[in-house]
Amino acid sequence: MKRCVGIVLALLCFCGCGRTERIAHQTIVTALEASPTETGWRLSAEYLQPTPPDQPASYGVLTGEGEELHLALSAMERQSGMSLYLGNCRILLALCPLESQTFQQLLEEADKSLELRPTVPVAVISQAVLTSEKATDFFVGGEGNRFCANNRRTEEGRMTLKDHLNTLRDPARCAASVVLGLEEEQFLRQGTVFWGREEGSFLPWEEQQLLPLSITGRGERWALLEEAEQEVEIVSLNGHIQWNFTETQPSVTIFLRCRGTLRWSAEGEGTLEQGEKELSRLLEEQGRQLWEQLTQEEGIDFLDTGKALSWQKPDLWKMVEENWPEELKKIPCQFVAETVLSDPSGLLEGEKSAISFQLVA
Amino acid sequence: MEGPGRISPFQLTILLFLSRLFTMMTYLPAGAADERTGLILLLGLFFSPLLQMALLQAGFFFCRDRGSFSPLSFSQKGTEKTGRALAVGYWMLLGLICLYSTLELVRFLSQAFYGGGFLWVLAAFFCAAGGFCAHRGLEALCRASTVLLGLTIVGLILLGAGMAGTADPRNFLMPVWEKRLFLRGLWQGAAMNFELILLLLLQPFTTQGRLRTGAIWLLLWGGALLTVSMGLGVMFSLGYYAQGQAYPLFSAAQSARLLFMERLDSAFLGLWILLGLVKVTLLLWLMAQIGGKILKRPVSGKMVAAHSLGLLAAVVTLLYQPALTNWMKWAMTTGWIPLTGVLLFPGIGFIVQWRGKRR
Repeated sequence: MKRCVGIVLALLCFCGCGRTERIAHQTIVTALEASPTETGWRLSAEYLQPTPPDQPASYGVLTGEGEELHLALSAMERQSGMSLYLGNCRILLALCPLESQTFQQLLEEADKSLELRPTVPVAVISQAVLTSEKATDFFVGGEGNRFCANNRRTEEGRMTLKDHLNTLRDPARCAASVVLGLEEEQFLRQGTVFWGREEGSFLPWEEQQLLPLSITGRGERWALLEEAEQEVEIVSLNGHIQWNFTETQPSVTIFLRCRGTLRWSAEGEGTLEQGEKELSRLLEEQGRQLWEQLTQEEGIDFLDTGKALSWQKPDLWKMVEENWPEELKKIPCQFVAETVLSDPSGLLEGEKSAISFQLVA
Repeated sequence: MEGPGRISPFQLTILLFLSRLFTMMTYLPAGAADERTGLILLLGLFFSPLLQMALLQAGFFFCRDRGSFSPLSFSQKGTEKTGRALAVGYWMLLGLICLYSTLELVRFLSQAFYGGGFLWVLAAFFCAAGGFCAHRGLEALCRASTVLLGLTIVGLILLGAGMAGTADPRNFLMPVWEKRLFLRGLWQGAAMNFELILLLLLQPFTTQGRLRTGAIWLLLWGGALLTVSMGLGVMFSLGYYAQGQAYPLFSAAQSARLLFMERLDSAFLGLWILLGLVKVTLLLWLMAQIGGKILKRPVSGKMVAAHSLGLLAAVVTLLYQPALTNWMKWAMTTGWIPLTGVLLFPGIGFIVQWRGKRR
């Protein structure tokens, strides 16, 4: 027994970061920016600069180019004189044209040749962020991570490298990326890119966008209903896709089920029913607009109707998946919204009395 | 070899389950995580215990005639030459499984955590640990089996809950029935179950001389159910991303999320090393026992150490030859090992003995 304990204690000496010089000779990368060039790829990395403990952290930028991503990485390593550690990278920023093939190639190479974690968030940017002009105290990786963490919790957004590659490879789904812009050292959402079969389509961020946009999570949580003079907080918004097959042509119906809470109402005016009707109409209108803009014009299946078809008619899906979502352009779509609002604060006194009366009776 | 039983059937069942789990975590059949075809393959894997049981029953039949369940009884009681030849055959089979398991573990550890380096250091540590445990004997390993099972269950619960946290129902794709895929799954389940051989070889060491049929069914269905669960977990958690990943289950653990834990690859690592150690210890111990029988000498510490060193030498040689390792991996998955160990060797022994009786 004593020998066993001795052996275990001796083995403990071999655990952990024994070779400390290995860590000291690595550059810790906190954010990565990748963009295509004429001959290959350009990589820029934000890295943690060694500073004395009593001074604030500072972050430098390295840039390298190469025919492939790992060659661009090697160029940066030569420049730095140390190997780059990418396991702690907080965000991968893609500065690329709206070409689906290029974007997918970028992510596939990043996944294979750079040792990034599958959970690293991916975002599209329209302007280079990691440049030599960047202030050394501005922590791009931290800011990106903060944005993604907030987005993940509040909007159920899924935008990791794993999620992107999963949806880009799946012909039944639409990959969507959040587009970030930098304003006063803060990342702001500028919109969403929906990646089609060949090209991506950019949809700018709108305050009153209520519908969930594919994987980038749900839209605005508040709705201002002008006719009913009410403000509603959306508690849940679920969609269900129903494919209908008749003798003439298939069609698709999108059922939207919304549950909301009344937060403000003009004095003495309107009822919950009015609010429900208006919100339902608003949702249906937005759905129709997006369908026309993204699906019928651009050929993008932003609601993953292909996935629903593959579940409901797997044999049919097998026949059409080659040309998906081109086939979807011709298919008529109908949006049907059903809204249920509640008034827990008793803003509409009359309504509340009616409910109370019913309960008592 | 067929001395008095030293371990309980329950302990043996647990050990074989843990050893099987190691292979399951390493080898998720190609395509099992594929959205399009994976479910049919997994269905085949789920029904694979029927085929495995059929194989085992045939193996039991060939061994039963000697009045013992161990095919190794041929080397003790049967024709001397045939018996020794069969023992050498088993020794080589077990050596191959041991080599394959150690190679997989070392390569995985090196790739996932050490940037492809420290290969021989990891191999040396692992072989030394396996040799030490094998030297302590089967009983020592069996006494730890309940604790090991407890740790494994905790690890599996963590992994399962973590993968559930990142699961996306939209990764599911309704499969289209394909008979060929179903049969492939059925075969792959049996092909990668090296524990069928261990079951035949280790049964005589139990206090009752054999495992009950119910325990064998439990072992086989438990393994199949876990393989299917892992396949489903990977499919729902990673979707199409799992394609092209060398270790899909590890990738799923890397992206799993559970409460405050952002990744669970360390839980996977701990669990995997533990299971690898159980498997390699079992195999090394059995190899030493068979080696002793071939050489007609009692098993000593030096013999176990020689096996451990031999394993290390083979691992280090193969580690730096990826083409050979890849070929070996392919060869191991074709299914000839369980067929040879469960059907061919006992069958040869049975025929030799039957012909001897006729004379």
